[in-house]
Amino acid sequence: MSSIVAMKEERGTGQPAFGQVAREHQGMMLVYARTLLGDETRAREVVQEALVSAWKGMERFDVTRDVGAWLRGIVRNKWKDVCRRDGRKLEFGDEDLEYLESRMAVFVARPAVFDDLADCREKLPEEMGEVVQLSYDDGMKSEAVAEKLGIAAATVRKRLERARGLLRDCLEGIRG
Amino acid sequence: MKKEEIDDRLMDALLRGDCEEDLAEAARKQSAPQLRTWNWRRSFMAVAAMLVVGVTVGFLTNHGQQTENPGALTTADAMPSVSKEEMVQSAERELARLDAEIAEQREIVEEKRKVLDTIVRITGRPYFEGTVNEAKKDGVVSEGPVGGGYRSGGDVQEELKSASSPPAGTSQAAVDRKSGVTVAGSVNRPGLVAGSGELTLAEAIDLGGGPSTFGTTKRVTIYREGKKYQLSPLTNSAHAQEKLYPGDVVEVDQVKAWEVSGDGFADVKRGAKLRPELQGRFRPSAVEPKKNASSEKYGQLVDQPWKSPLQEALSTFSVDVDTASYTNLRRLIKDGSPVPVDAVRVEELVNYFDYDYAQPAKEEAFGVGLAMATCPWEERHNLVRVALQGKDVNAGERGDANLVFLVDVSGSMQDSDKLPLLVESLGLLVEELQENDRVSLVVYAGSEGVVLEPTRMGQGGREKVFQALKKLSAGGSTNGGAGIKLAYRLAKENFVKGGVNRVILATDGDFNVGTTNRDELVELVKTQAKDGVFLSVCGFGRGNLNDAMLEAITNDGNGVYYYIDSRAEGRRVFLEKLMGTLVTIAKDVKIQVEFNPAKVAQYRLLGYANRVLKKEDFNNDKVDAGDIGSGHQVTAFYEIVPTGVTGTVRPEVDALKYQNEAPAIPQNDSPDWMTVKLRHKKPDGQVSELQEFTLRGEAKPWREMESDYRFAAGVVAWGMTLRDALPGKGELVDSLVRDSVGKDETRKELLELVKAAK
Repeated sequence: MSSIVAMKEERGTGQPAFGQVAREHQGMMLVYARTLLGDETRAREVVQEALVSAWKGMERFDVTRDVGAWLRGIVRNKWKDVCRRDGRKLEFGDEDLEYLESRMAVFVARPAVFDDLADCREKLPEEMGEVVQLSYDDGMKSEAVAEKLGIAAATVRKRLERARGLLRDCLEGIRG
Repeated sequence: MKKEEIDDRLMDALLRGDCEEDLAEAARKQSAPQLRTWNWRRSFMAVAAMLVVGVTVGFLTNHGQQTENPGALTTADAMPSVSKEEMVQSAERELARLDAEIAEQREIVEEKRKVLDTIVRITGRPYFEGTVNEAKKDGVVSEGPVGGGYRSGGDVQEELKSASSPPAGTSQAAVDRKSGVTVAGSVNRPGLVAGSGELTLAEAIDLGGGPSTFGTTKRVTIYREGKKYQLSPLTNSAHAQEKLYPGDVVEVDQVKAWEVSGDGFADVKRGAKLRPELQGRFRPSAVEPKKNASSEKYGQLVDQPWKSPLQEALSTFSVDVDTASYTNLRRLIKDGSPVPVDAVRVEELVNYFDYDYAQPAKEEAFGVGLAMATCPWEERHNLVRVALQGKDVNAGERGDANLVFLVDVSGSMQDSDKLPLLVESLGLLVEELQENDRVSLVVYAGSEGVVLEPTRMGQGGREKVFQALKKLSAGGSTNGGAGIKLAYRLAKENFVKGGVNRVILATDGDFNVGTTNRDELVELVKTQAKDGVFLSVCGFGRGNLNDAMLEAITNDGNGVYYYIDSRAEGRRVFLEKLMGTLVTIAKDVKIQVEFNPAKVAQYRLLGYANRVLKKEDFNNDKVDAGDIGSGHQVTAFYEIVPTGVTGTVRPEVDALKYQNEAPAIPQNDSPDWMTVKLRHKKPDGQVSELQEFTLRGEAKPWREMESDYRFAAGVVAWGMTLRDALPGKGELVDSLVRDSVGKDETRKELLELVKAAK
């Protein structure tokens, strides 16, 4: 909250404080956008647009409100815009968005989520850690991972799914 | 959308990582024209203020005073305020920790000093007297009587003078005869072993590659300065820890022909006649047994000989789905070790591979196929293949699993190819289990204990099991007997009717239960199997796997035995073959074949030497036999001499010249070559069901048979070649295997082994 206070006080110039806020929250915004869109390129596009709007609308921001939620609101609007522009259906209904919002509050409210995630990844069984690393860190597709490890692609996807479940449990344990 | 899906997408988004670039900067640039100009002066003031504040706070903190009103300072939020008391406490804690560490180190140093003292004391004296008396006083070494059959010290020394060079990878400098211990006898790598500093007996044997297929560490002889001492590292942990000195020679003994699996050494006097009920349960030995003066043969010690239907119309055997012989063989060949003839169980080689057999009809437990072709290695003969295909039970169809992992955590399990591989392999299994499956973990070593109570997989249970597995560490001696009872008790208490109830024993074979309890345990396994709790034995590590105990448990067909020598094999057993590993679809599966003497002059069963049953055993439901798991396949071959073909098989005894004792070849109208009968019980049943199949028609030329047939025949031929039962057919074996390999990776591997084993 203090950064918002500073931001408001620095309203005159705005840049340093805004930059700080943006840096603090952009990770969270990107995660949110990825969840909504799936597509990495579109997600980044949306976040950038959202930040532009945030900058512009900053002065209208009510300091008593939650910055994160406010920024996510902007991301949501941009998401709808992008979907409309590309002619895609909105995958998340109102209930879904509500649920997602509650989950965001648990997982992503603090910036240290990626550190916690790294800790949780350490605890994964080796088989799972392997596919997670190849898929996410090295950016390999399931088929490529399957080939590399000598298992079926379906097994890779199942393992990833299972790994995500375990990681979620672990994160909830830390923050819940 | 489902909540799980939303959560999954969120996790996926998190896993893709943090935002690396400065999107804010990009956004700013994008909106640049609308921004106010950078006010340098204000920014500088802001930064300066922050610096001043930072320094002040730092200063104040170092002097143990509270900072003032954190709210006013932007950076103060990031600085914790630490009171003097807290600092002192923290320092005290640190000191206490350091003290503890020092005390621990001191203890370790003391221990080391004690050991060094002992060594100096022992080696400082005239070698022989000092060691023996010292050792005797401590009661560690017994100068037991050494009977015939053990080579004297002189012979061993002689052999070792021309012994193989030090194990590959050790430099000559490292292995100086003076500083080395020699491991000889039935070990995988006889010769000098390099040890760093002191070696214990167990370590030395391990460095020598462990006991070979028919070696045993129940009786180990140490030759030292011309005297020999007998130790029993397998049963006595103090013996296993016995320190060895430079120049020592360790000789690992070999299991003798008259020792029967399932029976203790002490119970059978050398040369005594076997009790009738034990016949037929021999393990073939590298040492041929002495034949009795009477015509009584010692059961089926060697491969099935040629038989005539007129003398023995019935061939009866128990099915076997164990594949340990293949994996063991693979290891031996890859290590470049010689392959003992009796390590080759031909049926286990054939059954290791996958074939394209048809699934059985819906209600049947398995399907049976008979095929006959000309015999590749003797084209005047026929080769009949009997193929069983067990029903595939899908993952969703099996009942809930109730698994008890019984893990050997004795000291010898410490190697990287043992406990860590075990934990990984069991982990693979746990990963594939379903929500309602239950797993518990029991360990045995010295004492036994339940490490993890039966835990459901759902709701974080799976994670608990992983954690429990990870925590396993090796240490202590082995006391398997109590552990297995505990494991069964746990399995019984959580029995799932109609589900998968299994104890999975994971060990390096160093499974010591004491001779008196051995029969008791085999009985336990049999009884439990009748009640529906089955046993899988997974052997890990190199060398120690041939223990009579494991054979006893699994030979009666009440347990399945896997040898896991690598991650790939672990994956194969626990992932690909999982359903077969877990789900038994038929119990006590026996086969009895009746040959028609009008068409078959002679026959012989290839492989299954250990599995032969008496003809009465077929209908006797009390006699146990092998179990078949989901999707398992069993392949057996009979080589047949059709009537009218003569001169291809040398008879054991020539026909009489002056008397005509040859019986007339019977005539009958039957077009059958043979009738194959099969009995099996449902997994929780007590009464067997009978199926019958007949074989008719003409033998196809073997070259026209499908690749599965030719490959299996090739494997059999290879096995027989290794057993010296099919001399001079190396080329044929090569081409049989090569031409039927196809794309299958496991088959390609066999081709490599065939090449390497030449």
